[in-house]
Amino acid sequence: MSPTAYNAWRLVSLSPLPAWALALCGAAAAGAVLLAWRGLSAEDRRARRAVLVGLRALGAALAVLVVVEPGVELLATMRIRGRLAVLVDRSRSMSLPARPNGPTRADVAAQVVADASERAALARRFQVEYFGFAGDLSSIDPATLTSPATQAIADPAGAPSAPPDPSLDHTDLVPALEEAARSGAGRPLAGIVLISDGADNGRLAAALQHGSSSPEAKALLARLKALGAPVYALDPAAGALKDLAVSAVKVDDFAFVRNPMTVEAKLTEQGYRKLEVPVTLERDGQVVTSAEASLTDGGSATVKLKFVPDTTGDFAFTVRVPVQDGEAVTANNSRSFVLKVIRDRVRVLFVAGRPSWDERFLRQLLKRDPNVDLITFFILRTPSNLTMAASDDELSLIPFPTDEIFSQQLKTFDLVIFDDFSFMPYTNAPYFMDSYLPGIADYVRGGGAFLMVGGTNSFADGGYAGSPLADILPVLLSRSAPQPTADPFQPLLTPGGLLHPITRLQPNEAANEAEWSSLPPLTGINRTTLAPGAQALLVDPNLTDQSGRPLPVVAVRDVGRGRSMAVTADSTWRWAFLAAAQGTPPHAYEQFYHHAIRWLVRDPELTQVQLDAEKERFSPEEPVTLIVKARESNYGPAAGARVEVRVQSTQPGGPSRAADGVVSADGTVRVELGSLPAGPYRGSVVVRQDGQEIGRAADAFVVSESGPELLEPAPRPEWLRLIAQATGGEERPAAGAKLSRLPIPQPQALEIGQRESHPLWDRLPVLLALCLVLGSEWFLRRRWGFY
Amino acid sequence: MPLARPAAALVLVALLLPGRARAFGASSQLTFALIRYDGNYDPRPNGLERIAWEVEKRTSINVSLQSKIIDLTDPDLFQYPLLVLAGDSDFPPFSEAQREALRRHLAFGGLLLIDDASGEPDGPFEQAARREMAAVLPNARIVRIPKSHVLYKSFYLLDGPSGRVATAGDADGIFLQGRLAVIFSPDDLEGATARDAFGNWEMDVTPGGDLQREYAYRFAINIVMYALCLDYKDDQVHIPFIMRRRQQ
Repeated sequence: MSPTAYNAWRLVSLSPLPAWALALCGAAAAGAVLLAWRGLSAEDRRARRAVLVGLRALGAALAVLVVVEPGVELLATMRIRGRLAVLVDRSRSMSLPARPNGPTRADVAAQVVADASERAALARRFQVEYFGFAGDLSSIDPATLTSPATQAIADPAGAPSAPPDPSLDHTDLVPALEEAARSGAGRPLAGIVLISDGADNGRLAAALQHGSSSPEAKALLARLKALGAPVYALDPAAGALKDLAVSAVKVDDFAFVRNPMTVEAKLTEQGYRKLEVPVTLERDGQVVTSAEASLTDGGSATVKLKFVPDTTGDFAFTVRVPVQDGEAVTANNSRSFVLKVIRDRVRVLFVAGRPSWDERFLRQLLKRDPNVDLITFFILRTPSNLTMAASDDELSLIPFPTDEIFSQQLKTFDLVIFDDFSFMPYTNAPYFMDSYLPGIADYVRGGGAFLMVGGTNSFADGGYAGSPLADILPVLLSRSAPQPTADPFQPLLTPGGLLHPITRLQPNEAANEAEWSSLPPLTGINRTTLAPGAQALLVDPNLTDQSGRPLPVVAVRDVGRGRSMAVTADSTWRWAFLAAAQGTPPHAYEQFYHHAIRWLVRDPELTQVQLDAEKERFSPEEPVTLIVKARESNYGPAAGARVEVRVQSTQPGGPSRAADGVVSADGTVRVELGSLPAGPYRGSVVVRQDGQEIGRAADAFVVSESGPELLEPAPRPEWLRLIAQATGGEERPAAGAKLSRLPIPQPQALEIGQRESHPLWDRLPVLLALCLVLGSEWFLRRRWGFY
Repeated sequence: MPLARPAAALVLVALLLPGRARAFGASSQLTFALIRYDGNYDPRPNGLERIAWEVEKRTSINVSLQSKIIDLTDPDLFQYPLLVLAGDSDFPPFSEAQREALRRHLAFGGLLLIDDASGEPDGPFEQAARREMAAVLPNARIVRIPKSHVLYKSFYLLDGPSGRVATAGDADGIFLQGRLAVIFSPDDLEGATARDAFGNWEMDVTPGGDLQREYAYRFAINIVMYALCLDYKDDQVHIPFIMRRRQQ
């Protein structure tokens, strides 16, 4: 190698001994000098003392030189380029527009690295590495950078695109920065250029959710400082961003009908100085309540939307804020969810015409049922009992509040029971009971339930023939019907009653029939005829109507959206009490009425047709599947029945789909409707057997983006700023940014190519000098009398 | 449910019920069933009929004017949820079959009124009745029925039991699962209501005379109302009305 190849030198030790051994030698030398100084401390002749100590010091120095072997190392050095990592955010949020009607954030990011001359200028100063990241970091070719996969949220009504890459479904900035810092095989890192909207949904977002001064945030900032290089954050959505978003909705999984519930919606706002916006809660497209929210730029507000659901079932709810002028993202102005509205308890109004054993046992059963909220009114005294001596103040009687229960609060009840109750004594002031009968009939048609139990004040014997209630009963009433009978009889199950859930006391048909035939006989029946469209479940085998059919004892009927039931006897209490005489608990009696209540209030488990979405929430890419369960009127599988399913968006002008199917032998059918655009939907089904409708059902579901990228896509320039400040870098808008003009410093690092070492002197002369000095000291010590 | 109608609304219109009230037969009626045993089981032969007549007259209850005398082992015992055990002297223990029938009757919803016609506090009939109740319901305790119990407000607002005599001022009872299943009437309730064939009161009522007799009827009607309505008057809807009238 030519000597001119070396352009630097440095002093080094050529000793093979380790550094600690050299240090030990140095310490031993210093100790030797110290011993000499202390040994001569009593010598008065300063010249002698100076000579001897000087010789000892010289000897020690020479000994150290011999051991250390000082030398010079010649170096051939060169300055190297620092490493620069350019990270481009590839997550799905980058597919959103950077500004209204403008390019996407990914397009803006691509423009930053697309300029070849810029990349070349940067490459002259740094070794540049280009990475793409969302969850994981990977090398990319900046010349071919394109937008991420999906545009679905930008065009919610459009057809969905190809299935998205799941790896793009989240953004985790800090691990990506750390991985980029670690790569490069030891080459010094000059800096990191981060091109991202900052919409982190990983560790950064988690750490900052409790504020930037939380322990989690401080720990994260320490990790950012440990990168050891400045981060230059370029924000493709910076500057012009305006957005109002429903960023979160808190709601229970289910709500109780007629009980107040609260939906808590969190709103966030960026780019608007101050906003006063209405927030609405919609159910199946209809506004059910609203509230006002006030927001300032960069702020958030939480709004509580309170309402009282009045109907049970599954419903698609949407929290919505109006789209503002110049909003970058409009898809996050609403958020939908499915809420199951259930009964906390079945609310029953029980009106008894007189105290009797039948009413006592039925009320006792209802009162004991924890699922029943019972309001009872007994008529304890009729007008003919008014002649007695006691004044009203000596009685515990209360007025019959007809207006309150049959007008004001009728719709709060799930079931109304008239047990041996005649309205006729209460048609005049102040009761006007007849004026409430049309409302009760409408209540049933609108979805309510009505049960009339027999007695001398019931059915035609209670004056109901020709009344509005006669139209909704499952039996026909005649003013000229013969009197009720008092003869005992054993009710007989009809073929429909064998399978109907009300009279299904045993799962096995034979056992069910046997149990019914073993019950104590009833005594007395109101004479009625089965109404068209009604179904008799139990009949009196001994009595027939004019057409020769057995008189119905228990009959049921669907009336509009509601249901009605008739029990034409007033002695069902015997099933409870007389069974006890045989040692049998009153299970049959309790089951019969419990089943009746559940059927009347349309317990979902007891409806003939059920429709269930396979999931409450679908993504826009997956097919929507609905499952139909259909049973015939006898509650056997409706095999072969045709189902017509229709799905309709609850948004005005939203899409709809329809599909058909045939019920299989097990009574179910799956209907696939393909994928649907994001939004709330309501599905409905009509099931027909041989052209006759056997039932309808409905269900709700939501199609929405499932990942946080498009649910919380708002740019986070403040988070980018935080990263830049923590690492000593800068945050800038990406639009128009030039990579070569970023103030990235060069690292103070040299790379040594060649080196060569030479001793400063030969060891022999030093060794001889050491011997001479030590010998001189020995000689003089002996001469001057020092031993 | 808040109710705001004035009590004056109790004045009802003329009765328009159809004339078929009896057509459903005995099972829809309330019938007193007097337990027959070896002893003086019916010391006031007309007492229950008179009570039934007053119930029929004063309330909407469809009641049988004839009481039923029945053995505890009679298969028809469960046709009659309201039983009456009356007497004025000691009686021999029930058989195990009788006790088992009565035990089941009370456990499944029956009500037993024990009417001590002797009018003697802790007399021989009461002791025998308590002995039988201890045997029939060994796990239940005989306790004093509180004055706040719905028995005293099921129809009339009362302060306590009444009868031919005034002995204790309180009635005892046995509760089964919160329901009053046995009522001890200590004051000869039927003695205050019994009339002879000519309509004359069979016995004097002391010390309160006719007013006490009226309260005996009211207590009897409340017992019947409780048998058929149980705790109906404890429903929330009744409470403000009853409290207001009690204060008056």
